[in-house]
Amino acid sequence: MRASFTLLVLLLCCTGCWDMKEINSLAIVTMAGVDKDPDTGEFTAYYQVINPTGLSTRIGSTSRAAVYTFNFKDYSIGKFSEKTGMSMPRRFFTPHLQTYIISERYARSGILDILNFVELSPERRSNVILLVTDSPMYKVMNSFTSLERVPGRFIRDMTSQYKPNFSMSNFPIRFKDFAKQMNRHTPIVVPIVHYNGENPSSKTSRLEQIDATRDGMSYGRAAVFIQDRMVGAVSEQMKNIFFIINSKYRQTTETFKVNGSLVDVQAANIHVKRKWVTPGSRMVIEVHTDLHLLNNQQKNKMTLPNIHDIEAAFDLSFGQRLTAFERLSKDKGWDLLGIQDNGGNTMTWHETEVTFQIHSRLTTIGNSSTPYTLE
Amino acid sequence: MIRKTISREGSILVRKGTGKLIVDQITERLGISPDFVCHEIHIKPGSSVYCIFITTIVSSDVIDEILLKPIQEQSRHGEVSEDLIEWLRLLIPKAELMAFEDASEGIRNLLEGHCLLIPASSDRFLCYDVSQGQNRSISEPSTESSIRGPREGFVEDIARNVALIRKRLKSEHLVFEQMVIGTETRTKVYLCYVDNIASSQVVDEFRRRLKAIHTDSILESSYIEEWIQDTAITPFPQLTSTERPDSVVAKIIEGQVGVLTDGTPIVLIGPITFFQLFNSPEDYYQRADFATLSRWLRMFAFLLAIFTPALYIAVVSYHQELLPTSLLISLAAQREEVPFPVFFEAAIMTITFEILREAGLRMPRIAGQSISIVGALVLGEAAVEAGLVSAAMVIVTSLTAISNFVSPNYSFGIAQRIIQFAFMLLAGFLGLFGLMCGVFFLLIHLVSLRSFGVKYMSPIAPIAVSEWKDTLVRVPRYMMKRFPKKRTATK
Amino acid sequence: MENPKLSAWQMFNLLFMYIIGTSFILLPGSLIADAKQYGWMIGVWSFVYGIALAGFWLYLSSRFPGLSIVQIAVQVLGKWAGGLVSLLYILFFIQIASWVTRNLSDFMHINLMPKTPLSVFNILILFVCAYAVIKGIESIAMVSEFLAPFVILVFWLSFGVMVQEWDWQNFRFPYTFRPIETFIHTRYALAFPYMEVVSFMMLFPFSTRRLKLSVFSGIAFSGILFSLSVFFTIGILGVERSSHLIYPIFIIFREMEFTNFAEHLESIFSVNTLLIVCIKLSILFYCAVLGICQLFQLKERAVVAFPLIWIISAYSLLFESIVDNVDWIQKYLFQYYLHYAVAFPALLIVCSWFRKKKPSQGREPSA
Repeated sequence: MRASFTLLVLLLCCTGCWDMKEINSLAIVTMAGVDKDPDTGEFTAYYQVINPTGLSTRIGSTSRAAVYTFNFKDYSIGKFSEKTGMSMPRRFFTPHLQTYIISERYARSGILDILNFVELSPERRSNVILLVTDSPMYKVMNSFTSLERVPGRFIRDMTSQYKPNFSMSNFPIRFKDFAKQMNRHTPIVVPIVHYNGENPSSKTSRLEQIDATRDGMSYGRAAVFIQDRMVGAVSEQMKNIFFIINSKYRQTTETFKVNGSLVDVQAANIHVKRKWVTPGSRMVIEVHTDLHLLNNQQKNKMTLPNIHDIEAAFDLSFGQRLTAFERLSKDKGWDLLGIQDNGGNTMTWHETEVTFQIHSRLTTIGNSSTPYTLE
Repeated sequence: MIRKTISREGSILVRKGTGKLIVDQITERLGISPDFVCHEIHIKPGSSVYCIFITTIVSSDVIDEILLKPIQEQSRHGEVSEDLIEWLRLLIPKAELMAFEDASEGIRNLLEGHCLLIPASSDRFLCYDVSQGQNRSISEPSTESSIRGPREGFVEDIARNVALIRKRLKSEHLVFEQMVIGTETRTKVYLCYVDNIASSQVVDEFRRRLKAIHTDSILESSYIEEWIQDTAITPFPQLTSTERPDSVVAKIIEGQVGVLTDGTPIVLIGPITFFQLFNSPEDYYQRADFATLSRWLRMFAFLLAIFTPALYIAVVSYHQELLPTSLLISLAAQREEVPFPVFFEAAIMTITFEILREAGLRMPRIAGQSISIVGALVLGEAAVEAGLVSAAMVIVTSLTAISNFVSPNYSFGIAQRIIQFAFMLLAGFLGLFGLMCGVFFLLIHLVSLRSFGVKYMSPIAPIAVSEWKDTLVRVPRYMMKRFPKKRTATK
Repeated sequence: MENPKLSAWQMFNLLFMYIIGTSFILLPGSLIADAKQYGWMIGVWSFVYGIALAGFWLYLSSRFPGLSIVQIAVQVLGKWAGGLVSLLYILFFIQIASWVTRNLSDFMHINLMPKTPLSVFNILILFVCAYAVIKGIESIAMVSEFLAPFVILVFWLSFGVMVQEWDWQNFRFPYTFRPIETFIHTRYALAFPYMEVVSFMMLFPFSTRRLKLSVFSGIAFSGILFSLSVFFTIGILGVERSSHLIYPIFIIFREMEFTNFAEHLESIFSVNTLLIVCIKLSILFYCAVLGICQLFQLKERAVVAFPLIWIISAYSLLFESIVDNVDWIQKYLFQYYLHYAVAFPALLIVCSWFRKKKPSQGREPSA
């Protein structure tokens, strides 16, 4: 019995290895770009595949490309992984995808198809971030980046920088956030990647160039998605306010004048509380924050009354920004304040009266108590 | 001093008696060896005494001084009583009086290094222990060195080993039970325990199993281990072995039982549990906190030793999605030019290492150094440089090997290597799934093991929190006032 | 045949492993789909139901101390009728064992190794479990005792990390909760982990002490942990996502990332799942084998265990896919389990009352 047992197990072993895939036979995709022609419905997918030897730190291999971009066209997303075999010598491997970038025209036509595809596929994670680009896709996907040699990581790390200031360190622009918000009314705001330049910097020689801004990528405006569809864009400032008001982001910088001189403060630990005065029609949003003084051009000594002046000036200035934000929300018809998801009426939410109350405390003033002045 | 060696032919029969007959029989059996000596001493006319011994294993000084000298002196003075055997007993009071049944009784005593005094006409004889072994002196145990603690190790002579234990444990409850095992070697084996601490069930079990041994030879305690262990179908040792008297004493005072074997410095101790394999005798000489931490370190090293190569294979050839991206990229870069699949790469490296270890084990010290240079340079450097193996694989192999050496028990280390290979195989064929099946199998196997009726995985499974103070941790001594509960055998 | 003994703690752990077993990979998704943010409440009332049911079985068991359900049936109903009931129970155990096997291989197939054929998973895992069965229930109990703390600790530690994704808004899903309808609709949650516990009727006789306490606390503990994990799933993933996913908890682990290095921790979950399911499968397998041994008075478990591997692994391939499986669970499972968990034990109790009345000294004449 024991012998036959062992024999059977061994036989079983001999037939194994169905799922074996050698690490050096994988095309590790780090970033994918998806574009869909709204007229024909044809997808164009760009995949950036890592070239491991290009990334290795051994001598003699540093000048080679870190990634290569492949692109494919088809009418259905599911066929891409098979299609990659036509021009990739290695096996298409997506679990390490860091970033999806979609074109603006695709975003505007709705991204439900790719969302469902990513959620279904066991090969793809849905905690990868999704970004929109307003530049042509081929430029974004065919460009090398500075400092981080893998563009996928470049973009991901750019977002990761903000993460510590988000509540629970989550930048809510991942596929899973889209899935979670699918039936909510609050929009999702996603940064737009912008490519600064005429031509794609598709040669590694670009990495030898000192000007990193030119022919590089940066964040600018932000795209507003309602459910699965991009409906428009807001400025970078409005994007920040959006995250703050929805208790997702906790920090911002504000510039205003106190006694006729410029003052910059950083508002940290922002807490937002919503209260319905009369349910459905009047709402009070309270904002509590600690201020850190960044720049103070006033001529007089830092005194207690002066600190109160700064606090009051901040409350005023920030309140104006919030009001502007509210106006934008109502003008465009996007529920950026999240009124409906917080007990507001779906039909009459834009008639809701919103009042902002800002309570700030200046807690950190920096190293100098009194500025230098000329007599 | 008259010493007269008589060959068989030369012996003159004075009076026919039982003693003479036996002597002839003995001579017939042993006389062919050159070290067999048979003196005939004439006491008075008509009566003589044979003095027989094997010269290579006895001390001739003792024979001369204690046996022959008094006999000759007394007989010269003519003060010989009628009853020769009683007269001899008066002369040599320490000698043991024995009766013949046949010659084999005498032969056995002779071979144990006794000297026989056989009056020619008697059916009884005197036997005197004059044995003298060729012993090495007590030295530091070479396989179990420790930084702090006694430097004495056991030797090959069982009597001195008993002395080493008695020196440390002067208790009236310390018991040594003698058994003679092996029809040809007739090896002395002592069962050693403290009778008011050790569980009588366990001691009975030891006694029963030792008595059940049917073999011709016992040359080393491993022979006994193979006979008395619970099951042979396992890589795990069910008895531990040591050559340090202090650790034997520490164990038997906890209620375990020791088995001393003549002719080897290695003493077997049992019953043991799995977690005791992580204990080293030095734990008790170090500070408690440090001892606890080093136990945890050994357990961690055990896990590393059995899992590292298997996990590496599983993750790198099956589940690349489990790796962090940056690690995946650097592994991919390293493996870019390696011609073998991961599993074969790992197999080649580990088998090469096993060969190196085996070679180093039997080599003289000086040659061993060159082996290690060849191993380190050829395998470590050149293979990576040539692109035959990846640097990560070298790291994995050496990490495994070093973790394996951490094990304080040598045979447990061997068990780890066997498991490591089995896991590698499973991981190579079915990835993480195969590996986890292996883990479950191993767990079932471990809990079903018994060492002299004591469950191998106790006190974790079945759980006994009160015994944790000396398994997972070593609590300070003032908290260990009570002796541990008697480990009772369970069916 | 050996006479195993299970301590209260071991019984507790066995029950815990058995109930948590496949239910926490399979159930949360459909519970949340059916009861939205109140899914965790179903976990609560179903374990209360489980405790009540266990009390019922314990009563039957206490009337026949030292006898398993197979032996009780033979004793109460006589050789032929009792034998038939016992045979049905044995088939029932084999059936559950094959479903569990299938759940596991489906899980592995979908998430870890999509190209390996299902039967390979089945056969390998059943071989390992057969080894456990041959080594006996005590070994299985000791392994579960060894693994339970590890499994709970690892699971909740890493689960706890995901609290950073917690969102109270997930509980404000627009949905009106109708307890009665939900109760009827989600009756499979009563059946799936808790009515399967009837197989422990095979193991009750081995318990040495405090059987009632260990059984009730085992069911309660696993029920609470299960409800908690559903609650966490709702809080972390949201109603919307978790009701669309097949293995929501797996997805939670898959998407976990804290610090840049420790991400992709689904392997922890897979390993946990595999170990727990192995225990559950070993218990069921053992019950089936023990039942056969008791019914046909066989001495050697190995003779039964090895042929059973092939039967179970073949039977487990009966479902076409996981959708088929989930469909069966939701529609018919409760009615089907009702026979074994309630009807037969009730029959046995009633018959034993009659039996008791007729001959005054009771047990000797039967079987």
